[in-house]
Amino acid sequence: MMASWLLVERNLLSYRRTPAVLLSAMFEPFIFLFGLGVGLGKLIEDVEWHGDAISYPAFVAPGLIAVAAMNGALFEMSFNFYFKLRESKTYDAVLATPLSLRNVVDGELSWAMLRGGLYSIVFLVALALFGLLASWWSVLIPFAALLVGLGFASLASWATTFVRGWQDFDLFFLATQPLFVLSTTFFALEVYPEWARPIVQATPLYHGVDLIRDLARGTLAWSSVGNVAYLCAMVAVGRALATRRSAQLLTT
Amino acid sequence: MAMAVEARSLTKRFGEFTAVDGIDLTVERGESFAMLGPNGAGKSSTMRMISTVSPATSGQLSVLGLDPATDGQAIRSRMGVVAQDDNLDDALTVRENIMIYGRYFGLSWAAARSKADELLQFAQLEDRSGAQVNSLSGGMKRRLAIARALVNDPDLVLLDEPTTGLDPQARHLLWERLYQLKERGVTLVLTTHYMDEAEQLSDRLVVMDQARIVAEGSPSSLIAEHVSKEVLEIRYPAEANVDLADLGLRTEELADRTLIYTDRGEDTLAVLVNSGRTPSSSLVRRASLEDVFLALTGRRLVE
Amino acid sequence: MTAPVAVTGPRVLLHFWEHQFIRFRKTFRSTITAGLVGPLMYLLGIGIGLGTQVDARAAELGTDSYVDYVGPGLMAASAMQLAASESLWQTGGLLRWRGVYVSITSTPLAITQLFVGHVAWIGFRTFVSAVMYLIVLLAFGIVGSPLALLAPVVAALTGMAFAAPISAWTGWSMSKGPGEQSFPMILRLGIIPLFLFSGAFYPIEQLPIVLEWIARVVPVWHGVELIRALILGEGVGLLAGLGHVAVLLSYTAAGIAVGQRTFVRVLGS
Repeated sequence: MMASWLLVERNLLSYRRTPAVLLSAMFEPFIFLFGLGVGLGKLIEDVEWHGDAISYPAFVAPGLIAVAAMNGALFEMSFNFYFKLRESKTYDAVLATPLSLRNVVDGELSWAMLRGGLYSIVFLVALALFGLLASWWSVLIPFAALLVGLGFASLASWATTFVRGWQDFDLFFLATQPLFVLSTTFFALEVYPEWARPIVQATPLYHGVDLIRDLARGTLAWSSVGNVAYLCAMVAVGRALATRRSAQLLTT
Repeated sequence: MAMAVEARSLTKRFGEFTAVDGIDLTVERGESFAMLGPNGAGKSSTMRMISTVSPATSGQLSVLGLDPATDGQAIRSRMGVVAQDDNLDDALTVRENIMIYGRYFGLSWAAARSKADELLQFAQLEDRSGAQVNSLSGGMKRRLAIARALVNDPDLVLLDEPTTGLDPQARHLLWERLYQLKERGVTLVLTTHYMDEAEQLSDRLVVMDQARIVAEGSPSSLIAEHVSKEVLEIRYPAEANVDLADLGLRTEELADRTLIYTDRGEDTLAVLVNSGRTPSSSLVRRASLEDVFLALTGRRLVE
Repeated sequence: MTAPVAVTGPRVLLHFWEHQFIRFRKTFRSTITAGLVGPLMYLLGIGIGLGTQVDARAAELGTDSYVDYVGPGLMAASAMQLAASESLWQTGGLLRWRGVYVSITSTPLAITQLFVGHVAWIGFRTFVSAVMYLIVLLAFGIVGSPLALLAPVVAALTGMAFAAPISAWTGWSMSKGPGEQSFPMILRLGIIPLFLFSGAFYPIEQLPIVLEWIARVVPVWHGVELIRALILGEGVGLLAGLGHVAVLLSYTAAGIAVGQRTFVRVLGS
């Protein structure tokens, strides 16, 4: 645990001279909230959520918390992880110290989770100030956001071990872009035809968005337990796969 | 005290390919030990096994008396590794590179800071302490990599081709630093494909070729055992067809010249001149490890 | 063996393009799909999905349905996005990390010509993506006029209106400026907001007045308006149409003038 934290220390140190790179992503959810939520909100009548009519910004905002957690984790575990794994050989150097491969993977996952978490929490606080949260369950949103970040970090780190060159990231984001636009961040599941709903429900971001929106609106249900279980499974599977693949790349 | 490194029938295979084929080697404490061989001879694979990041396929290996398969962490905490491509962290400054590495070895921030300052002085990098790694020259980067590998006061330091790609001046500065380490009693294990480096730095060396060890000993004993004291290098015009068999010496035909192994180079040259076989150019030099390698494998170290 | 002939004038540019094309061919499939999937996802998610919530008031937008409004606008907004990311990451790589442009300076191609060729090449890339996207729009039944065939040309102009100034920035940034660390920030704080405020998703008149004027000054809105008119066959006044084109061309020309200098600085020293 302590050993993994050393990797987080290394990352904090590396951003010390360029905090703007780290902090600029903080604005992203705000830009989408104003760009689409408020802009389109003028064209959209109230949206229905669990029988309540809520304003469009109030509907979109919790979804954007999940997106922020996902994006923060993805950015870290795509380009940065790839660079350290393949180009600068940072991990080869770390593996010459008492740290183990497991420490390296867990350390990087924790860092990515914290980065995503940071963005979500800043946005969450702003939403509270804007009065876009409707329930005290919202205090649990940071934990949900960290779980979403960790889940995406785990899967993304595994995927990144297969990347052969920078160009492959086109394909990587080919997979994540649909998640962003189609995972009920911007409109409810009911918009989809009956047959398409299970497909949407099988994708990871849906569970993050659904869970955080339920917390924000105080509409928790049994499905929320399912959301949490899905995200936990994502962490467990992704972390195991990523550790195995990294071992194949770094310790042969 | 246990040997620094002890290997018996050590083998590494990658699928069908055998990188290291059942080698035996022993490195004593305080010794400076080199593995000399061309690219692809199995030196780096052996180094990776010693550094505990690459599991052996078969055979026994013990490093500082411990088993890399089970005690990797304990071994690494007493070892320093300088990789071929430096592996420096280019998101950090020179000083931070050493500090964060010190943290990985369990130093407190305060201890890591003072250790970093001490090592920057050793590596003659004090004035670059706040610089980004990318702004350093090749020689400086290598010195930083060495300084970083010393952050835990290691008993054993592994150096994979420490001076490949460096200019002569940078090489000599590096050799000087490594010699200082040796004087302090640190065990050094290095790989190289430069015979002069092996001669300069090692007490003892093994010559590797095609995954095996083909010779072992001190630089001078290897030369004495496998080649003559001196080498006469001669060139004839391309169309000349000169027979050297009557000299009774071992000769080696290379693409552009002929080597004659002799204990007295000038005398052998005189014999050639007196018998009307004056070469178009000639050179008498001391025999080197390069000649040992050529004698053993029929090929040259650096192609 | 034939002796090399001294190549001058526009011929060198042709060879520059050949070089780019060979590079492009290797990564053609992933680059094209990536360039197409982005706008397609927005078309499905925002145009159709979110459109279900907006359709009731589509008349206020002057179209039958929301997807008719969003679909054409996305062509211009995506052209901007593609050109911007090419002008940053790809260009930075060509200039610095991979040294491709550095090696070109030892050929007869002048650096000033190279910059023009570079911008035109990104224009061509956006054109190819826009043609593919137009086919998608056709399949969705969103195309209402044969004038739509001109839309990819406008998309290329929109792309170049961003490629020229942003590549100029990249040139400066790689020699004297903050380097690639500025790239994610430009994309996040510059391009993404422009994408959303481009008029592709809703009329810019709905924006606060300051943002509305920013949107009018920046070239993407001009591309959005012109492309929407061409694809839907709404007809756009000749004067207004020429005005939009003039804005796009002036950004390109200004960007080229500056960019030639910054490229000379980064490559010529």
